[in-house]
Amino acid sequence: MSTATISTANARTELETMQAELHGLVDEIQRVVVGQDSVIHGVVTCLLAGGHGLLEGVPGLGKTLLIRTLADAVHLDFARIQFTPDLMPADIVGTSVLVRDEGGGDRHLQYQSGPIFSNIVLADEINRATPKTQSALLEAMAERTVTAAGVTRTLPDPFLVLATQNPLEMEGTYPLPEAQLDRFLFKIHVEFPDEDDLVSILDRTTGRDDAKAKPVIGGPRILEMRELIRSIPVAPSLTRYVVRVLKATHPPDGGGPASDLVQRYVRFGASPRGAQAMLLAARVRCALHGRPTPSIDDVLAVAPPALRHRMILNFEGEAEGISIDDCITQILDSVPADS
Amino acid sequence: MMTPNLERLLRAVRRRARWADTAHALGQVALPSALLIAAATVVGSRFLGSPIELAWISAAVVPAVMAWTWLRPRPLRQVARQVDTHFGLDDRLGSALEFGAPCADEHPRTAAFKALVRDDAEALAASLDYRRVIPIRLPPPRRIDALAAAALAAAMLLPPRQVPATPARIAPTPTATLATERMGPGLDLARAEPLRQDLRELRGQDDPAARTADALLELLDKLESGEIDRRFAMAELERLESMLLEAEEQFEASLEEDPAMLAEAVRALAEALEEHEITREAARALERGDSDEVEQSLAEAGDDTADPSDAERQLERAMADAERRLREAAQKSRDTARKLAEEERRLKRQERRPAEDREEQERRLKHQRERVEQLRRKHEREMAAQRKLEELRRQAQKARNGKSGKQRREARQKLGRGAGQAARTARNQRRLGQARDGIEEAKTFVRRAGQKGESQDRRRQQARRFSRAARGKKGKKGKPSLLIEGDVGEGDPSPSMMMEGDGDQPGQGEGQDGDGQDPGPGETGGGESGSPGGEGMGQGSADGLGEGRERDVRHRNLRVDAKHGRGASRAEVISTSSQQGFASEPYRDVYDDYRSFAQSAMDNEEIPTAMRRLVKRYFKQIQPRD
Repeated sequence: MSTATISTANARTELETMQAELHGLVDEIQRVVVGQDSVIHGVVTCLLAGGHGLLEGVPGLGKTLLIRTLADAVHLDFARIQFTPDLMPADIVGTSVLVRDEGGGDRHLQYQSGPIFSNIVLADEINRATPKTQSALLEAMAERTVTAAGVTRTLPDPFLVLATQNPLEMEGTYPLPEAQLDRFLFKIHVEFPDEDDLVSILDRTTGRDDAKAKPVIGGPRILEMRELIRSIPVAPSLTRYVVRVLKATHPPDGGGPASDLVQRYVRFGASPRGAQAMLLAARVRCALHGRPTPSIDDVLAVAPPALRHRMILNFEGEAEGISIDDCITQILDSVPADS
Repeated sequence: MMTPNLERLLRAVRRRARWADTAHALGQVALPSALLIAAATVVGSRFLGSPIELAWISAAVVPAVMAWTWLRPRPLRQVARQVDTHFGLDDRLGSALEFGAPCADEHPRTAAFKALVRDDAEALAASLDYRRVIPIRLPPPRRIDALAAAALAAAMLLPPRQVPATPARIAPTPTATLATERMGPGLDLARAEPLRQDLRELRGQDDPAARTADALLELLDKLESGEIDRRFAMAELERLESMLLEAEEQFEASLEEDPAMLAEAVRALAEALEEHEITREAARALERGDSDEVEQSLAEAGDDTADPSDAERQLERAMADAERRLREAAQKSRDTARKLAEEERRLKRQERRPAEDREEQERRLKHQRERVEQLRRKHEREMAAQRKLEELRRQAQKARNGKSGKQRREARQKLGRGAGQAARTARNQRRLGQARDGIEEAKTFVRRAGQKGESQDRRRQQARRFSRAARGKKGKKGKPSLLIEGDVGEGDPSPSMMMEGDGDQPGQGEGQDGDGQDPGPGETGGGESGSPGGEGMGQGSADGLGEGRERDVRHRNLRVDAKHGRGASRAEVISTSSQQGFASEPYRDVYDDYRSFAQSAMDNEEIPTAMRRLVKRYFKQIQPRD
């Protein structure tokens, strides 16, 4: 009994501490990045949940800045890869090069690791690379390992891929395959800032001072936080709700109780990774708010970024310009909280 | 494992939610439903005659709705979510409800977080006011409520269903309830004054006829003053009629002798006594039905005369006449024994006859047995009446031939007593008949008060029906009417006789050259039909129609015999019975038909009251005695 009491007190303390640190992290990022609260929270969620994030937005909205600032704030290795059509997989994962031994004249192959071997990898404009290059990220994102020259190498922990893509410029791009999209925890829309935020951006970026984030959390602490977040209990009814939402993303022939939009315009619903993403992100969100268990509101908040890249519209939906977010909103409205 | 504060809070909220649901359902569902059901049942009672008590079904909606709201499953998890949503608790109470005891393989930190959630929920539950979660308030009125209320009000305003007057007995209604149906101006019953006069004459006795007369007078007064309406008056008349019917049945059951025979004998006896000065007082008492007075008058007849021997002679002659009249009355053939024997033979034949339709056979046998039983009872009563009259005749004989004056006096006394009893019986029967007539007449007044505008159409329809029935047409639904026994004749259905006239006389139209030689078949006014025969036009007279002249047509009376079909029509029955002395139709049936037609005519026509009473008296005089 006493152990439980102590554990309860410790748990409360841990929660409060984590909440304070996370707020510090967010504040530090917001010191550099103006506005974009939801994007910042989404990125932090990906960091704490151990998932990867895909940021979609037009150029100039601070996507790269945000990710670099995050890397600065968490004091982790950061690598930026500018994806271009001629980018090769070896440019990402590394390659073996012939080198001469120091003592003799013998030569041998030595593996030169690529930029993927960083804690935070920014895959800028990921849809500009060829599918072959894009697929080089698959193993790294899913297994957190890289296999090159017959040798599998483990990536550093924490490992986070944050990719960006431009939704407007589609010429000369290679849309990400579904398999790779599914490996992103969130697909975060970066919206155009409002007027106040734009004023602040101008003030900060055109003056003499160049704001730079200071590290507030280290990599080990992030790993601890991940452990703590995964210990947060979830009510069985909430788990079932997440499952119902996931099933509702599927059209009727997929076995789900479809809403109107899903029935007409969705070709495939979200994979089980979508449910995992929702539940994990809901845990992170409740931890960010200092709560010991997630609620339906947490699920509702994280469902759009967790599901929007996992649902595929059919031809009719594409032709009519149906928004996946509208489908998700309708799904969330139609699924009852209690079964 | 639910913490106590949390459990208390959630159960309290659930109770309150049920009350709120009940209030909501009562206002939103039960109220309009009950109103609509009540309206439907009221409409049903107005148009279909369904019992108005069915309206209580609408009250059943209330317990049904309450049962539904209270028995409907409402899990505590759902209630907890409601509380969480209301207070913005991010599902903490609901989650605490689901986090039970820690599992064995659970991570210690997870268990600690669950305990933390429960502790937080318990602390929150203690501080929350559950009454704020679910407000209990009645729903605002809606359009459907107003419509339902309007429907019920409209249904209540519908006129009640008119119950057709049937001879079935109507349960007595307390007279006090008359006041509940007060009307405006009453009916004009000035023409009912003769009826009132008759009813007043019936009063003053302690018998059913007097009581009926009292009730009828009171009813007429209230109807006239508007205290009661026609419908209620008709129901009251039905009640009085049923009571009178009971009294008549009791009177009938108490009779040992045939009252008609007794009445006839008493009338004959009174006529005999009336012819003699010395017994005239007794005769008048006999006509009044005063038995004591008759007994006393006959016993004391001639006591105060100056010439006893003359009185004796007068009494002897009076008693002789009385004896003769009583003998004639007693020996008058009633023909009942013959009818009884005939009906018994018919019954035996029917019993022996093989039945094609068993049910029909049973029905006929039953009817025939009742007929035989009726005749047997009548015969027995006639025999008893004959014995009674024979006894009276012997007393009259004794009163004439007695050896001593005392014996003759005692015989006269017994004669007076017996005759008085017979007179009283006859008088009671007559009074009951008068009371019944009074009820019928009162009904007529009540009916006529509401049928002024329809009387002509109804009269035509009744005349058509009667005419059709008299010619032997089938009744409604293929059943034979009381009037038929044969097919329809081929004569003109019009009751007026057509007469042929010779149209060979010249027309009288001035200004026309023609002489109207065409012998067209004119009707009685053949003079007006002379114009078509002329050739050419007239000479420009502006008055082409000519002057009115007397009929200058040679009439010829023709007898047109009706062409009868198979069987006997009513006309044939009447005709043959008058000529040959027998009738193939029971007199009672014939009488009932004609009397009902006369009655309906009087009900629907503006017939003077005096004439109306005359017709009624006529039918009363010719009514069948049995």
